[in-house]
Amino acid sequence: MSDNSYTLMYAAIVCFVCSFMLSLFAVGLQPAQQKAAKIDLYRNILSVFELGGTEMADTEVETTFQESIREIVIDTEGNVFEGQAFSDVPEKQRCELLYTKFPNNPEDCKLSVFSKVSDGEVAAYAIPLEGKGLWSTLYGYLALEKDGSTIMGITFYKHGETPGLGAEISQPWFANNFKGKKLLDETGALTSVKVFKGKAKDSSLPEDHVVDGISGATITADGVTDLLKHCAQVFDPFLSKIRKAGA
Amino acid sequence: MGMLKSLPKQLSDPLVENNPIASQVLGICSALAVTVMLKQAVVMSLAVIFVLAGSNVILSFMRKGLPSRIRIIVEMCVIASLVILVDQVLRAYFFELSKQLSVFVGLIITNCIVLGRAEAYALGNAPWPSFLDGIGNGLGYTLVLCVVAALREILGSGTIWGIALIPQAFYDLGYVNMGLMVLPPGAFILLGLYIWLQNTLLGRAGEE
Repeated sequence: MSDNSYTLMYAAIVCFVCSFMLSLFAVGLQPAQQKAAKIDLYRNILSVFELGGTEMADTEVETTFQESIREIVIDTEGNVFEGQAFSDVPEKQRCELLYTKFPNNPEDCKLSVFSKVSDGEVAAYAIPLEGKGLWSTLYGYLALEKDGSTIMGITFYKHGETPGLGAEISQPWFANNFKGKKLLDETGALTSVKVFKGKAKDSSLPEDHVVDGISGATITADGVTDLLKHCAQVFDPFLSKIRKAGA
Repeated sequence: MGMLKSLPKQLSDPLVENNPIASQVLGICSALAVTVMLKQAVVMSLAVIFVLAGSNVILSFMRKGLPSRIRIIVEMCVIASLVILVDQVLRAYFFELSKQLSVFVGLIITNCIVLGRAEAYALGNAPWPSFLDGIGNGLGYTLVLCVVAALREILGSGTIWGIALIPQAFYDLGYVNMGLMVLPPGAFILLGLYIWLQNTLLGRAGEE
């Protein structure tokens, strides 16, 4: 065999063996990965509702989630679709939160919200968050109390920010700063919450609408500010209905 | 150093004398990136040890028939496959950690220690010594990473392995975490000090 054809054969075999092995592993590990991702999402939603978090075992996470969390399918006008599961909503009717442009026909733009149920009554709501950080898209949830304004918790379950810098957004200390902050100001206008560059107490903004920043992660923090504003707007029709019902 | 003498040379040499980071100055990029917290540094190190040992053994087996013109690309192919494998396993069974390490597991592919050891050692030696060489260099990488990460975590975040080390009373008295240590320059400075200390202890100061 000539030198060239040997080289080509060798390369082809290496490629085949490597890709075959990898696809074998990828397919084999997929169920475990999907389960891990699902449990992680559940865990994040539970933690945002203050129902537990990292210390819980996987099975406990699943049972607690099924017991006290309900999924609500809504559209961008805030209409609730009773008895529908988001997983049954056809792909093209699902809204991509990041690019939600309020289409003419809101029927075609469905979103999912989670509610925390205790003693048969809805105690809190969690709306999904999505927006750009520095390197990646940030995905999270924002839990609001029944008044549709007071923040109960925030969590980011998926992002690709720098560990130790931007990735601090998923740390408890960052999330804790949001507790008790408000989306609406005293007059009821949508104000959202700003992640301040530095300590919140040094900012001139009202205390209810500002939290401490992360040193070394200004762009990620600005991303969080923007996505909170954007998502609070997208879900405002739904949250308005809650506020009216609660009042 | 007495204890080290009893180990095979491939294992003991890269720990101090010929450490991949501190002496060969390889793999600096990830040493800067994943040393903010000790836990991440340890998981990263384990992943690197696995990839290094695995790629060294596989490439050592392949070394006789490997056409020299496509040598590097075949090496990269093997290394990349192992790294993707590690990433997939982490995602399936250590989801939380894989999220924290994010892109840096994938970047093991570009960690020059792996390719460097394949080129410098595995292609010229039998599988067993190559395996030891991989483990040894991986441990050398681990040693430096853990020292730097522990210092950065203590100074930069006031914690170790995520557990608060500096009592709240100190913060109340006005103690502030050293923000510089959380940023990449902090790692540069510590790494420089580490290399300086090692060279001084080994009597290499001023050597060309």
